[in-house]
Amino acid sequence: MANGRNYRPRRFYKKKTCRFCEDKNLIIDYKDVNTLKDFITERGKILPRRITGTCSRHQRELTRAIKRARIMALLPFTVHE
Amino acid sequence: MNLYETMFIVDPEIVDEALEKILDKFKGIISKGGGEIIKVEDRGLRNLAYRINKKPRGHYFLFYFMSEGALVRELERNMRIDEGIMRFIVVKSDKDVDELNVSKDIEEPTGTGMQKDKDDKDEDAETEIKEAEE
Repeated sequence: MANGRNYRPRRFYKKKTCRFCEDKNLIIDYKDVNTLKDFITERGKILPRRITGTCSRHQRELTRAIKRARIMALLPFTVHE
Repeated sequence: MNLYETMFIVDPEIVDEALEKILDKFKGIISKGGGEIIKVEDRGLRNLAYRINKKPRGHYFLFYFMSEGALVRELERNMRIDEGIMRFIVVKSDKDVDELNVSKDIEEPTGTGMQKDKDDKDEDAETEIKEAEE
């Protein structure tokens, strides 16, 4: 079989795990700005799961928390250059 | 009955008696409406992530209270009317009441952590120490 021929060089990567599954004590809360800050870009956008490795359930909770924090002006909606 | 938490931002120009008056007003609304205030947190003056009503700072407060859902609507209505309230949010709390009563002292780090803003003149020194420790 020609399987071997078509292989692209595999890039090694560290498997990302959901931080909130790893540490059950780490709770997602809109008031906890320091934790939420790890999951947004410098521009204030929410980082996708594929970057942070967050599981779908926690990503959902995270999104909700970030949006609440934005409403309360704890986090920015956008950061202008 | 549910446990709710409400965070709201009071205009930073409102201080002393005027501030007390606003807080008492909302405490009154909660207790008169059949709710029970569990905990009141003054989270202090904080820089806003963006300007609200052209003001760069705001005074944050956090109330935890037990009540029926109808009271939430009444509280929100009153917060909308009050000019001194710049922003508010009322959510069901995922904590439980006993936990809140026990963790009164443990809660503190969250409060101080929130004030980690660079522009805070007085707190600058403290923040630097904190960051150094980390």
